[in-house]
Amino acid sequence: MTEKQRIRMWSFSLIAGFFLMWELLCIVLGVSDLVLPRPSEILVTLWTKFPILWPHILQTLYSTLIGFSLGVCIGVSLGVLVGTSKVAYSVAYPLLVGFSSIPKVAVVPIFVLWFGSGTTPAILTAMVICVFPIVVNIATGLATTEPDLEDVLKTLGASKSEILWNVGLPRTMPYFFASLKVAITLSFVGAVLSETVASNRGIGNVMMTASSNFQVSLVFAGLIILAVLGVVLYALFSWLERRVTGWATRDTEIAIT
Amino acid sequence: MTALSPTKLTLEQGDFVALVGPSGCGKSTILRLVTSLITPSSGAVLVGGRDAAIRHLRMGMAFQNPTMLPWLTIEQNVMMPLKIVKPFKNTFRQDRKGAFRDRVHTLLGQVGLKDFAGHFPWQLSGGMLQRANLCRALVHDPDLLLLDEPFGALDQFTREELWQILQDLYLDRKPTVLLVTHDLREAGFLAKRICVMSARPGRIISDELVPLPQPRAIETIYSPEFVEMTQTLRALIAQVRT
Repeated sequence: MTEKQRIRMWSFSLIAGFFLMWELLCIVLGVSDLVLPRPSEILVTLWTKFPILWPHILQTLYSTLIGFSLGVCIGVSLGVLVGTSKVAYSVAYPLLVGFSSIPKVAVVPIFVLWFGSGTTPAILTAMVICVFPIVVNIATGLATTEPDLEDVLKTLGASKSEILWNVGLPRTMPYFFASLKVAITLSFVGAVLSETVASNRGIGNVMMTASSNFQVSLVFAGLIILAVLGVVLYALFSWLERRVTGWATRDTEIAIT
Repeated sequence: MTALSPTKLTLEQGDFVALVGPSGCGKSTILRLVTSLITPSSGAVLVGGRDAAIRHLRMGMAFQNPTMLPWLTIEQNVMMPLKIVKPFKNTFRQDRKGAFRDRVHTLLGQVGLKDFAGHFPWQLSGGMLQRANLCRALVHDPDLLLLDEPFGALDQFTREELWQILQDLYLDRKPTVLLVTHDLREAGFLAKRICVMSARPGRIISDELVPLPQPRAIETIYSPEFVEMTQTLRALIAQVRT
């Protein structure tokens, strides 16, 4: 435990040191507020503007989480479909890779064209951006399930769906959660991206407006909020991952009963 | 590639047959045919008088690799057949905390794993996992028990210990057993009948009863008649290998 605490302390010092260095360098080099505001200024802005920022934070979180949930549903279904059959896996893989390598920034204008600006394109961008990592991970997890494990159930006369529920899906959970951690941060990026392009609400829009009004410290306040939200969401899913797939990492807290 | 040449093997109910032969002779292929993990390219596999693919008899199988599912505890692993096989699966929801749990615990007790029911597979040694594997193969009272070199990867002492456990379980429950092994002493100690296979494409070239009453004590394997029997089998296999 002391080892863990020490690592935590070092992480915390690193973060604190980073901001301290930033503050000091700005003062020493005399950097203008318009180029790079000091962390203390950003903090003040964050504090005073928080009541105005709060609804935008909620808006961004809302778009992200709705888009992410939709993405997970679609990603899991597609992943199961592709992963359960070797043929489907080999046939669909090139198309999946093709889709996933499209820069998702490029689809925002299309969504705006179809659905107008606002919440809908933000949700949709958050969705499409997170679907592919999930599909690929679920499909890979299922396709690489050890035949030995499946044979155990086949010998007992298990049906395809029983094998999927009892072997395939549980075995795929570590892959799934690894992809969720990536997917949630991507969704977040997607939502903010769409807000900067086409919305009058959300953190992305706040930052866009602030930068065109030269409210530089507000732009940076937006960045800080995004970073904090991103870390919180990531931490949430790592915690969930440890709870569900402790067997894969041999987490002693869970294993010893 | 042809794994088996035309051959015939019949098991009576309650029989314990050991299948021995040089490596790659198709011993495991026979087991995979019986469980219909693979289908024969020609000929027929009948289980209980019907095509093996119908699976109308209950089967339990243990491989050399214990293949415990790593995300389940030993208890949950051993209980898995009850979740899959009729008629147990019909009442699995109601019974898994009651009757089925007791059933699993009784079986784990018989193989000395009573205190490990709640442990995960990676916390157990190879020998312990193989015991759990036997339990999983037997928990649903199979009519036919298929064992594919289940003790191959274990040390001598653990192996002999598990032979005795398997013998006790067999005499207690009397399933029909087909054991694939390359250990002649294992075959001689456990089986009622020993079938020897030729090199690939394999066929059965010898089918002899073991002239020793059951239950057998572990010391039996050092008795002159036992040694003579295994020597004869050894010579036979050495001859067909070349």
